[in-house]
Amino acid sequence: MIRREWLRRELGTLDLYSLVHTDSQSTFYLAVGFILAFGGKESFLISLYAIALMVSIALVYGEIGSRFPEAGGSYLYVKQAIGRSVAFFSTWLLMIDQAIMISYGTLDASKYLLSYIGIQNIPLQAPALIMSLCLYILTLLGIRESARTAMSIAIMDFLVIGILLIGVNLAIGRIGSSPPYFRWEGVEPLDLLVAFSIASRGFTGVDAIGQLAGEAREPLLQVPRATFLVASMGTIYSVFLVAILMDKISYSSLAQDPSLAMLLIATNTPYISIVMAPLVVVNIAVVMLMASLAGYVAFSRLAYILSKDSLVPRALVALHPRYRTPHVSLTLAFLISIVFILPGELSFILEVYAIGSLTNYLIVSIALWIITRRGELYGGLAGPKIFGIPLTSLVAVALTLSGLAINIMVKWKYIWILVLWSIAGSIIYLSFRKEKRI
Amino acid sequence: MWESLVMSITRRALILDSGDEASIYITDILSNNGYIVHILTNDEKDAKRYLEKPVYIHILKEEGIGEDLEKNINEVEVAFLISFDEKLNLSLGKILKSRGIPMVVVIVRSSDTEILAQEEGMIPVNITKNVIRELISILKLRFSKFIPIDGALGLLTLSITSDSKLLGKPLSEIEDKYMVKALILREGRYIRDPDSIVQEGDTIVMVGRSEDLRELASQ
Repeated sequence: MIRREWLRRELGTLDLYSLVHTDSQSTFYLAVGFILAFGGKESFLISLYAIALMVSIALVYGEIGSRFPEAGGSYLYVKQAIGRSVAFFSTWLLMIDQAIMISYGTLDASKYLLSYIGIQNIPLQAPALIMSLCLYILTLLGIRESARTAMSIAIMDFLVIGILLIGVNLAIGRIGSSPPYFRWEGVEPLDLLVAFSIASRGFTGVDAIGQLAGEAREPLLQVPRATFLVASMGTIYSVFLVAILMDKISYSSLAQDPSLAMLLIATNTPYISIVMAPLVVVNIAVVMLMASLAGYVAFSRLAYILSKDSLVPRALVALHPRYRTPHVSLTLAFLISIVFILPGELSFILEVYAIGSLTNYLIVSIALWIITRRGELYGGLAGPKIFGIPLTSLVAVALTLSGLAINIMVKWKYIWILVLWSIAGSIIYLSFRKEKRI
Repeated sequence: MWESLVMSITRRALILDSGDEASIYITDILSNNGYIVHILTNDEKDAKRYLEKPVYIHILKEEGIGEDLEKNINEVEVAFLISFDEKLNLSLGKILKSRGIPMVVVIVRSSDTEILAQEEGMIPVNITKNVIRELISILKLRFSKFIPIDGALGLLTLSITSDSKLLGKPLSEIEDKYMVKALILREGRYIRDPDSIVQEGDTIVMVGRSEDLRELASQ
């Protein structure tokens, strides 16, 4: 018998923000070192491009999300504006990013922990696989990120990275050089296109806010407010972290292992480096593991959204007879995470991560365009328009298109992974669509 | 939590903005009971009143209910058309019934529109009748009309209010107790079944001895 239940509306603006904080920040903590390693002296300007892209996407999500009071996020927006087929593919592409997020979260957490402890003879993949397995088991047992836990971690991250790491470096250490090159004037970029490619995918995760609208007390107002928070905090963190890195850390130190950029700042923080190093390691590890946990949950949630509209087999979200959790989709997420953990290369993950998300953002920007032109759905946030087209949408389409173009140019060798994933999606969609006569 | 997520079903309701508190209250009741509510408003000024509610806000277009609402219409279980414009309620009700919405509740003010709404398969709520019932209750009016027929015989029409002594009694008991012949007038229909129970809002028509009827009316 089908029970009629619904999600309780208990989340406020800060809860919404906290629940996506680890998702969006973890990508930046992973990517920042690589952006600088490839961007050299141009890294600050490249970061400004990444910020502009992130802010435009956040505004698009804020504007379109202020019209939708229920769970579903980008799937719902695209389905409403364009149709079910396009909505399916944009969600399907987001799903692989959630599985990849599990991989980079566990790999980066392992890297920070092993580097700090000083263990070099254990392959990175081993602890990452164990962590992924533990998170898989936890989610199978029914553990989800709660708003309270998410807020505690967002506060911890704000205290450790925002106040201590950035604050102390700015207040005591002071930045002695000027933008845009700081002290890296002589550092020629290694590969500008690669730097732009990583930067265009340096801030993903804002899309998760749309999934939470069904649990928000006042979604039409709180969703745009939460996206503003994501955009503001993301901008502040990234501008200052990049500035500190380019002012206080030498390029050669960073280039040795770009994935440990945050630890480098911690060990070079004046007076309190002895405290900062373990704090940053623990903080980054927790943020990364929470992002991985969010990856497991989000993968299942996206599968659920697709199955609710009969676009994928119901078996994908079938509940475990004992634990009542969607064990099939969780197992699939675990298996995909293994594929990306096994090479043990964070740079490999950066080759493929978030291209699906970027495609999703482009489609959502177009969806906002269409919905605004129709003029039927009213929302809590409406930006300026040009010939009836929202300016946010125009800017986001231009920036995401440029980001996608750069990624296709630079990462064409790795696009086959996404093509393979899309083919698998097409087969499922077409066969199931036929079966259900949609 | 997982279970509720997987097993939940989307229930949608549609409310035509009344311009006053009525649609706000109905919105709260429905959304607190798990409905996804779609509000239809005339313009952005009216739409602003719902920004703090977890609802979809649709701006009504001249050409119809709009593409965005059309996409969700097959999931709408119930529609409340409660604006002050009786014609708008009825015309919109016809459109929604034609789209297959199972339950369409419309506010009407006249008996003619009430009949039309019923014929279209809607559930009409006649505001005028409700106001009259309320007035009768406030003024504690026991009967609307007593007509002497022939000497000792008379005809009494009695409106049943919430404090009426006849409330909840079957027709047969009233007939036996007051030595009258009675029938119920309810929502435009006459009910003669002796087992029928008298309800608030009914009008009872009784024929009997004038003396008994006057005694009944005075109670």
